[in-house]
Amino acid sequence: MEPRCLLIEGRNEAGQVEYAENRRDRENKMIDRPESDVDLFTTEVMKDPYPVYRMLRDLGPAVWLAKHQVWCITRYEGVKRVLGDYRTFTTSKGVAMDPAVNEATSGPGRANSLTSDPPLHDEIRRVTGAPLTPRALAEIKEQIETTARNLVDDLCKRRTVDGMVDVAQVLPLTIVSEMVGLPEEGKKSMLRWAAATFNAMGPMNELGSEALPQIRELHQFCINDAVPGKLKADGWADRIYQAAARGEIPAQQCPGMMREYIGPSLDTTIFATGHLLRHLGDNPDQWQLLRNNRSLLPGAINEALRMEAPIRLFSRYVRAESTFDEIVIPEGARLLVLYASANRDERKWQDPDRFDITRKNGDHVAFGFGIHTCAGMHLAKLEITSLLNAMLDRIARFEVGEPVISMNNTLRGYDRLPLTIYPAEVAV
Amino acid sequence: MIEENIMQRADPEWQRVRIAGRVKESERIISLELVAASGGDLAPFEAGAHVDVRISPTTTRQYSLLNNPSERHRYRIGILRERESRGGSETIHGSFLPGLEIEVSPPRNHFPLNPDASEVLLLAGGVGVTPIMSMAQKLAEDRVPFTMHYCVRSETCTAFARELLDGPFGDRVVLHIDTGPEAQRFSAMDALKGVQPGSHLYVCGPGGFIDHVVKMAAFAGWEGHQIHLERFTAAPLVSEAFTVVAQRSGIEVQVSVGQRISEALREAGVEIEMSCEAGVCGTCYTRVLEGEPDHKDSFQTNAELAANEGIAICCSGSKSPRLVLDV
Repeated sequence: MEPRCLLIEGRNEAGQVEYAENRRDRENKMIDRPESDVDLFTTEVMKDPYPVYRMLRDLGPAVWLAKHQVWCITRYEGVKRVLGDYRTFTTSKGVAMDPAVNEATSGPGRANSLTSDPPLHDEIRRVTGAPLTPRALAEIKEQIETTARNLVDDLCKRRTVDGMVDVAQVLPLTIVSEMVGLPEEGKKSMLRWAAATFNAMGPMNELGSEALPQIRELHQFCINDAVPGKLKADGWADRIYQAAARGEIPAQQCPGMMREYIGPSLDTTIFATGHLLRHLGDNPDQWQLLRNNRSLLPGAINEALRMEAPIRLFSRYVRAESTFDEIVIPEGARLLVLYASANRDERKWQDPDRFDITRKNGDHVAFGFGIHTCAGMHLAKLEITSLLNAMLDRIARFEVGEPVISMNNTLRGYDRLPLTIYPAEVAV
Repeated sequence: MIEENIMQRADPEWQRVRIAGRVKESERIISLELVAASGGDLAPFEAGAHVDVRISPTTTRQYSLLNNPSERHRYRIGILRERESRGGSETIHGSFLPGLEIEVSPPRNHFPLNPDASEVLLLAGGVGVTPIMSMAQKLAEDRVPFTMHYCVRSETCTAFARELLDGPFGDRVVLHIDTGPEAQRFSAMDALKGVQPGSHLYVCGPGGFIDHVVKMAAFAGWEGHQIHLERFTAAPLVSEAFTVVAQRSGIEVQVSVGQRISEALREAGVEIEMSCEAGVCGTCYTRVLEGEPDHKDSFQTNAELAANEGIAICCSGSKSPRLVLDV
């Protein structure tokens, strides 16, 4: 597939998507707009994106990225505005950068709650979100906490572990993938498909292009294999078809909704956990604060999410001309919402690069904001809270080594995070 | 989606009209033809418009105008005798006889046609056919391609059906009778097929009919801005101020029109944890101890919504004048 980064979409009279050069030319004639030729998706930027975000924020609230032919929204205020206004900044034409990927993941029969506006969004979300509400999660809380305690007991014996494979991955892979209830071959592929999904949402660079065959595999799996009879009875995935059988949603919608559980349910949480471990390891004073005052735990989790948004960016389609501090973004443009940049905006946060679990940070945008706020938010928080509580019970301190950054167009996280654990003295 | 609140209104300049005709259209629906009491023209109206009809000094009801909007000499309205009449339709059916002079407001339109539509789908359920009829006449006159589906319960409920089917655009009207043969019954998914970027959908009828159509429209690829609806129900109290008691905090606050419960509570110093502020995430879910919430969230299940045990205070309101919350 030819790499392509044309992001100004439209439809011509025949109803076909128009990637025509004249739209791009019209764009380029506009002056007085902050512009940058930075590539947000190189290995260097992925390893340390924060100075680049800061440079973009200082250029303006909205910056034209010439390299990707797309706008980006850089500051907290603008990001909140875009996320809060689904009518103007719609997801219903996809949230990826590539037009073909957006075509494949939105529209009738393909949309999920992320790639739809109300009223469709509400119908889908009510079904896929049902097992993920705080009330529904109360049922699996104990199971998660028990698994976390057993895990930490094991870690205390091993002492030297990998913070990702041996720690962060355990709860999502043993519990959440079980709850979703895909057939075995699908369960094994979930992490791989999820990584591919997030790569395909970026530009068609090497990571994006290589993801496409796996995306096709995922879509085929959702249509052919993630179906009643093959799905674990009464698992979360199976309940999508139960809702269809009750007439709450048309059956044709089910495969698209299935992707909602497969894409984001695992590695976003895994990466968030990794970030929290790393920052607590790098800031032993904050770990001690937390040990002395367990009520700071929600603030600690939020602080890791604020510092390192696992989802760096998604895109939106601009339905009506919009102005950000006199910078005009035309109707039909596509823009990138830089969650990770908004969470480090010095206009919003004091000393934004400092990890401070005591700060007021509940309004970070790592989970998004508005109607598309992460449906798995409470589950992610429950998993991380359970793990950390078990660690705080048993572990005096821990050290982290240099992480291996995961290369993904959309996600920020680690593949490896060396961890050395010092269990607390057990009172005899 | 554009949802019209047909109960909002300022003080109108009432028009004096005479009942020039009265027709029994079906078992429970009559139509009235209203002309200016002094002769001459009535205030003009657009397709989809309604008037307030003064039924007694203290009671008014809204009725859609069903005739062609280019007519200035008359208004036509259709009145369903409601089983649980709150006095309005009962009085009209009983005592609004030809020759009687009554007062109606100037027409107002909360259900207008989009002038840029390239094609239109009209869906009517029961007496919801009235604004749809004026739309059909207007669209036919403007030569905008349209199809109209009219759904009724049974053979005895087919008010205006003959007039529509025998009229100048009868070939574009499809009648569906719920109790009739399978083949002619209404299938929303079939009716909603083939949406184009310039398509617009107008739906009017009972709440359940509208909910079903809107849901299926979304799945069939209609976008929110293409869907227009008008509900025929009494207005809920959402547009009025109400009181919220924060039981644990021992605070009572007034939630004014357009204000969120969470805002009112925060201003009063109650700590509220919020996240999406859009009724999807459940972070602000709060137990309801007394009162009836007006749910606007999209995370509670239908059973949870019906149980009224909890409320998303970032977006929901109150149907009761007082709401006691466990916060």
